[in-house]
Amino acid sequence: MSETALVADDLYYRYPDGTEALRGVNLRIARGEIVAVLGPSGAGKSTLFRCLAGLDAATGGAVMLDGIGLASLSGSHRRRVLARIGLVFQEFHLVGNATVLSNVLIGRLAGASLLSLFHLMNREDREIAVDLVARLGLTPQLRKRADALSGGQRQRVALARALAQRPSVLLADEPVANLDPVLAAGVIDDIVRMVRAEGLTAVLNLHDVSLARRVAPRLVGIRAGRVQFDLPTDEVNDALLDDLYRGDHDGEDAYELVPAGSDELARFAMSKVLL
Amino acid sequence: MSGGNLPTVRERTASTSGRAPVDPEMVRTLARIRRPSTLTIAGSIVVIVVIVLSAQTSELSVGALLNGAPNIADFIGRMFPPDLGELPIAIELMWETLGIAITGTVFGLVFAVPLALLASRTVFPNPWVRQTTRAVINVVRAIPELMWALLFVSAVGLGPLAGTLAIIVGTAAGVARLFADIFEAADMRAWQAASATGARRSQRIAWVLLPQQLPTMASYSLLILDSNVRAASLLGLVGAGGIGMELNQKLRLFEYGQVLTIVLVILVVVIALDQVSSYLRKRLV
Repeated sequence: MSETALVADDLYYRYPDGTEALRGVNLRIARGEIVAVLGPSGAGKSTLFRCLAGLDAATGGAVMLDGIGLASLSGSHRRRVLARIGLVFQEFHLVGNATVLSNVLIGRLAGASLLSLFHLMNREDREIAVDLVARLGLTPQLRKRADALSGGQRQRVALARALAQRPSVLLADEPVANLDPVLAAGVIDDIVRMVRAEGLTAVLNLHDVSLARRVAPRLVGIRAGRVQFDLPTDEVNDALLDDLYRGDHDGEDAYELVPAGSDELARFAMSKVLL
Repeated sequence: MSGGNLPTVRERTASTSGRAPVDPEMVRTLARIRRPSTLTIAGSIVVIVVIVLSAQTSELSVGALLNGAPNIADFIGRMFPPDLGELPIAIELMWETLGIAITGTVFGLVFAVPLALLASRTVFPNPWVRQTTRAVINVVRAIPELMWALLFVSAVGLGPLAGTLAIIVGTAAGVARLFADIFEAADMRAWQAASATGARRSQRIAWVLLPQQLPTMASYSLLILDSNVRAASLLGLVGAGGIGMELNQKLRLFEYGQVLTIVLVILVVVIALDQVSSYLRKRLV
């Protein structure tokens, strides 16, 4: 147990409209392990990310961080435990018109004093932020607005913000899906380099199989809300991957998992018609 | 739904292609999107009726306006030439008017921001807080600024203080409503990310929401200042200070030359302010 950092125990997630995005996901992730989660779009990867991150509460099963169940927490205790999980999102989720430094300092707010309301942070917090920015090669951009940066730089800022929390686990949801392949490889390498340097546990949702193979020693394949395989990377063969992504290209999965609410449905239908 | 032995949409699609079945609900939704609903037609009729009735009640009539045109010309004619002897007083009072407008806007904004935060669903999901705040804002907003001015004149006496207080109250309520809507429409992704780092709500407001929305808020604040200068020019009508008091007096004394001078001063300031603020707003957003 002491070696296990993050556990998903028989995790279910059902949307209010009845769509089941997760149907009994079990994962045990050891401390210091780097795991890539693969699967076709609509398989439930993002929902799994949100449940592991505590952004959404699972409708069944439990998420445990260092043996603490996320569901049982509330108030400031919940905030403190969740602060141990750093998050990186596909679309960066930065404050566009704030500086790089300010965005990274957001990662230090959880432990900051009331003065932080006036953007006054103590020396230690500022040093941690500046150090992370430097290690990600963004020192020249320290005082630049986040929305003036390239996509790769923005995702590094988001990574720095997550690391500024001094987390024990880093979760990333398609961190490079918005970047071109060359930039994507660079950003993923930076993520993995920092995760190793800080001794973190990492779960990365990736749709790029070759990228996942390169950086993660363990691959988890998810399809239709279930774990289809969970193996060391060198045991994942093409047959397994073909099976995981079967039918993805004609959008069958998107059909299956479309929410049934009439508004969502109309928008979905329109998007199909217009495309 | 489909009479007799015709296959349903679901069966047909499923049998012809191997793909996932098409939900008949989706087909109906699509059909509904194409033509205007009964509600849209009924709504349009109501809107037209309201416009026609309003025009009648307000005695809107091109004929009356044309008949009155000579009177307007006569009125304007009597204003010329402007009496420049009035200029020093007009400028001094315009200065006072600007003071009322600027002070009122600044303090109004100071009250508006916290009210707006309390009134936004995204910041305070608790419906009790939000609805109470919204109710207070709506009641205050329902009372015209001129009424507030009258109220404050009776409280603190004639003069610019009453006007300033009226502008503060009017701005606080009006802007609170506006900013609440801005906050609710804000992109909440960075907010959510900050929340996941463990940042408290107050910190998220200071580090995410306000920085994100500052350009929009500043831009609207300049518009509000514009409108407050015009409002402050009228407050004098009820004795709440500013240039309006003088304007009212000269009108009653039939000193049309002096009236024109006052009007010109107001015009110059309002236009100048409008230019400056639209220039600043362009740079902001």
